[in-house]
Amino acid sequence: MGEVGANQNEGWFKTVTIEPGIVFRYLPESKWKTLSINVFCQVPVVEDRLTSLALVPRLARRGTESLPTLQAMSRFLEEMYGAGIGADARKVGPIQVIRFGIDIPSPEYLDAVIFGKPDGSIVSKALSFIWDVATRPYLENGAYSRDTFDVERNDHRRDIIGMINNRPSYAAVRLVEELSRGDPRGLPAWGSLDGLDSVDPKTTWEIWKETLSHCPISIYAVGEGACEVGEILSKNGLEFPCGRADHIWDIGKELAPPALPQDVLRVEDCLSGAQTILCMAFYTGIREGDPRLPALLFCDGILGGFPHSKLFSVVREKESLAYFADTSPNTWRGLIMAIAGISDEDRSRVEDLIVQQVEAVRRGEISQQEMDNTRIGLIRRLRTESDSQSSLVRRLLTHEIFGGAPTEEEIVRVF
Amino acid sequence: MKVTKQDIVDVASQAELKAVYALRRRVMMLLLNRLTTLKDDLLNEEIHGAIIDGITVFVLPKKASAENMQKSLLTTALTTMLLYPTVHRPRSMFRLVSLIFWSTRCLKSHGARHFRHLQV
Repeated sequence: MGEVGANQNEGWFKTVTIEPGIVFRYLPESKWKTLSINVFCQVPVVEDRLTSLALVPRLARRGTESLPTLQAMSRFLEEMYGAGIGADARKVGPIQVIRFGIDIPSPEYLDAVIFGKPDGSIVSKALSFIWDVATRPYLENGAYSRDTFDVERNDHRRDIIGMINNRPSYAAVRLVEELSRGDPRGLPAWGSLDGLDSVDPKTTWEIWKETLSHCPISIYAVGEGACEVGEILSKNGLEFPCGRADHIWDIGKELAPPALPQDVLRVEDCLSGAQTILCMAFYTGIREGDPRLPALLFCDGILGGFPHSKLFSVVREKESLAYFADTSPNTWRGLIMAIAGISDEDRSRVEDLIVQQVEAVRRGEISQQEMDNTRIGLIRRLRTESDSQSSLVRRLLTHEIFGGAPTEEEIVRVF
Repeated sequence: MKVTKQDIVDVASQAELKAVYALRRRVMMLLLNRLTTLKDDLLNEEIHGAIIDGITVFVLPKKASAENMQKSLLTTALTTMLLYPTVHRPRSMFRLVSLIFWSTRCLKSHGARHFRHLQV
């Protein structure tokens, strides 16, 4: 493989720097029957741009310069042996990550006798297609098509409202938002309903063009054929709508979390629903990249990560006060977040009980059975990740942004 | 080095409660939406209100005259009942409409501050 820049191993993946700010990471494993290629654009959160950028993946899926309609794109994907594309906006800690991905059958399994001889390399076609989706969308007069834009904006609005309907996940998002009050990095990846009213097709394209010029880009390929992706990238390079800027955004500056309040912050919202969701944040100071991260994950597992954990067994099973009760770590902020679905009248009782469970762990009231079950549960959970291409890529992307363990095996080793 | 019980105790010892967020249960907030939609047509004034659980009504009128308030609230209540008959039981709606008549009388005689929170 003709490589540009430094080549190094990170976990199982090999890393090649294509040009400053653009890295290619690949894992040519044969255990999957598909080749998964993902392009991640890492963007520091700016409140004015967040919602526009959240719309970009939706608009990108509607057509490219060479395949301007959904029908043309679908036909192309069918010709690629039923390839599937995905594009979304998500957050990794404080960074907004815009993803464009394509999954194709591994070239190894495409028998020319059965499937017919492909017209050119399928890997090359897939790569140039997904790059077109990211950088060369269908435009009219230098802007996204107004009709498409309006449809996607309305769908996005409906999706945001739909996310609000998933009360537990919405409560967790709102808690982080409140803890980051005044700091846009705490806003959710999908932007805001208010922000949707002010976006327009031209500005959105301008923002995306500028973002493409400045943002760090990571390209991941997992599966057989991954090496070929690297060869194509090295040979042909990448084209951008406005070229690449000399100064690439340094996302490392964005990682320090906003200061937490001195006292306990108390916030209430009211929404329709069948139960009250109580969400509590405990600050531990242990973040992604900290050598004590495995201990944090273990502590989270003892408290509420599993059905044998204290929150589930005490708050739900023993006291019958919750429909669900669990915890999850927020490794950007160094938090353990407890969440419980309860009757509104039990709020203060459940709050006290959750605090009591943390105090019990603090006093060392952890049985050997709890230790063993948590260890088994964590190892199983982490190892399951390695069976999925997307989970592997997600872990390495998190490592790329925050540092710390690049593979789940490095964490498993200390459990 | 394997994670030990002491490591977990150390993490828990550092854990400090920083925030409590409650997403509280509310069955209905439709009236608020209806009011927002209707306020421009009917009142040209600023009104905020919400019906919650079909039991409690919060009304925070600002500047609106009692007659306009009543007209708006009634229209809203009836529209809501027609649009969402399964959510609003007739008895609740009857009590709501009664409240609206009563509360607008309160508004006339005492001003807005006296009926910010009323039980139906």
